[in-house]
Amino acid sequence: MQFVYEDNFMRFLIVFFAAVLFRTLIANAENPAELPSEKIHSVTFKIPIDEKQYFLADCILIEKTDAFDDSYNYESVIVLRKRSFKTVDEKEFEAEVNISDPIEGFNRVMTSFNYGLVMYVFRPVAIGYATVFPRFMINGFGNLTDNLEFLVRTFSCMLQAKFGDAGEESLRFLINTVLGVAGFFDVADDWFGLKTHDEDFGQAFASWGIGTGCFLVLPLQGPSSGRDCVGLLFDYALDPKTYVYGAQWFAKLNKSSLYIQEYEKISEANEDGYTYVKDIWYLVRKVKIED
Amino acid sequence: MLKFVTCVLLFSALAAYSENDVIKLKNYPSQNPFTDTLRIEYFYSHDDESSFWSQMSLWGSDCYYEGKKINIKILEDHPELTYKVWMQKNPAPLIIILPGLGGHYTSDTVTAFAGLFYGKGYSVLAISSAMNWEFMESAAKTMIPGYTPYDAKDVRNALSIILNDMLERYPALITKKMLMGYSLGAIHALFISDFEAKENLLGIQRYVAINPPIDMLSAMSKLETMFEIWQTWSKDELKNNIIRSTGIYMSLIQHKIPPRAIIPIDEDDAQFIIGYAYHLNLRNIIYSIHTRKDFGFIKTPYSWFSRSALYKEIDSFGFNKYRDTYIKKYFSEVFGESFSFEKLNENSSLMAIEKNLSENQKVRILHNMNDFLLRKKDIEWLRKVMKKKIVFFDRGGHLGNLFTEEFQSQLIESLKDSD
Repeated sequence: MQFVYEDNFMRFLIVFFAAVLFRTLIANAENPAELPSEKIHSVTFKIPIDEKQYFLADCILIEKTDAFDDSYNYESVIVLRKRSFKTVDEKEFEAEVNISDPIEGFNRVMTSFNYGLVMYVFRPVAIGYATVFPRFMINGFGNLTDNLEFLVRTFSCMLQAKFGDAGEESLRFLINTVLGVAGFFDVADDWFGLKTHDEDFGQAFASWGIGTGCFLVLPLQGPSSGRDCVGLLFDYALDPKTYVYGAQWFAKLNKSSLYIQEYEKISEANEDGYTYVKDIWYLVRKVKIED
Repeated sequence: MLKFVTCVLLFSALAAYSENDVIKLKNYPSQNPFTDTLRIEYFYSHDDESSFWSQMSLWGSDCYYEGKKINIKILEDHPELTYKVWMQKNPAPLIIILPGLGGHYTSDTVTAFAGLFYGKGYSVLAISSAMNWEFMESAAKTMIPGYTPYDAKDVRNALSIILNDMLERYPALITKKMLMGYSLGAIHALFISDFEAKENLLGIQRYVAINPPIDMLSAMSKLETMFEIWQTWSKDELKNNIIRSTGIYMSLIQHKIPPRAIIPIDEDDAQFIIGYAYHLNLRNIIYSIHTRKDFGFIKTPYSWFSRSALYKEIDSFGFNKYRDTYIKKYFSEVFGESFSFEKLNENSSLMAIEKNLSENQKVRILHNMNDFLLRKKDIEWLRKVMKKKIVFFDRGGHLGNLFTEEFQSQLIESLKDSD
């Protein structure tokens, strides 16, 4: 049996003191299964404190079989939750963890298209590629292509007024290009401890207060959003690889030879990988934006 | 005075006796049971980062790709179930892995166990959890998972067919069979040991259960309480905590935080991460049930192109609501008037197989003193029933010490001396 009880603040105080009393008297009452009676019901008290907050208390009712009066045939054990003030509701939680998806049909088709492309085109090519090039070379090519993207990161940092980070990115580019064989080795990090800043134009737009927009799966690119899609245009425009024939494809192939296993695992382990990827992508994107 | 000294000595002796089955983990930076649990992410297959060739290479040696996937029909009119094997070239004992709630045979934890056992000379077989969509759709006679005796029966049935298939494929390569489960898989392994004690179908020589909850329904309620911690956050806290905990969890799974370092996360955030992960598992379970049979609890229409609204409604289900709707409806029909949650809980609990646990010499349990799914009285009960067949670790929360050398050597030790 589950019901919710709503009442005023005085009731809250009564419940509170009753709970403290019972909690002191009855040990190990947190689990109804531990109590001997078979007729046990759990109840949740929901007592408003003000318009936004309310108090939650779990109550266990034990039906008394020897009661003469029906109106008093319950004993109750009230168990306080550790933190009982509920302050946000499901809608607010959903807003934090879910991105709007009005063009889900299109996105699902694109996800299937990308899956086919990755598993039946990229994967066999990536196996061949990884069989020819050892890990250190794949990592080196990855460093090199990342190094070429320094303009995207530098401008994005500047647009977010992260001038120190923008300076570090420029310095990293100089060091890696000169000392790291055009960026094949990330000596800026290895020797000088200068870490890269994972920034792009989508993050810069977010810092200006532009909303995420709807979820969008792009062919060949994967999960994105309305805002990030526009940001991507700027990312590509500032990336030198865009202007060298086949360079973007090479960068994608190189990266996929390292990360395709994760993609495979997610696709295999989830009946509906689309929803899983959408939720995780959105959370990870939020982390990057707030970074 | 003499009486007082005698009492003190007696209590000291009792305390020493009750603590002598506890292994103290060295250099384990324990914070709280929930944050300790997050350290399960340090248990992964290491060879994927150390080899000269990358994991995709034909020359590379990666545990995930070294396993062979095999499809097999378990039930008529159901899709085939996939299982994965890592076979030694020479005859060797076979270890069967049963994952935790919602666990898939491709998961990092399963792969890490497979890598550990394979490296020690064992062959390995892994299947998905009885509460994973793939197993549910391919191998479960029970439509609604969550009732341990029925789930364990389904797992046993699937294993008997898979083992026959393996004996045909690898006739001389399996010397003996051992069953190892963790978390939900552990409780299933223990129930299977009970069935097998009555009727030997699988020929298992050792059962090892890692961090089994005492009963499933209570464990599920606990997981829901952990997830619901967000309800106590203010709107600002909600936003900040979700972002912070996701960020730290990302650092953990990318192994940016060293295993012996303190994880910069508080207890509430850790609870939320664990609870949310299990909440997503529940979402998959309900989705799988709903797409096969409409029990009338979910109203939102859906199609292949439009499922977001459906997921929104499914997300309103916590484990308690799942119990009060799906489990109640399904098992009310199965058991008729004799149905009650108390009975269901009683039968799903390890206490229901106490006699087997106490007498079956093939069973071993590895547990943690600060597992949040254990109550103090559960520890006492386990000690009383299992006696020398159980080993406790002082820290690790729920599965959070799998990466430690102490745990791994104890696990391998527990597999030895089987018949």
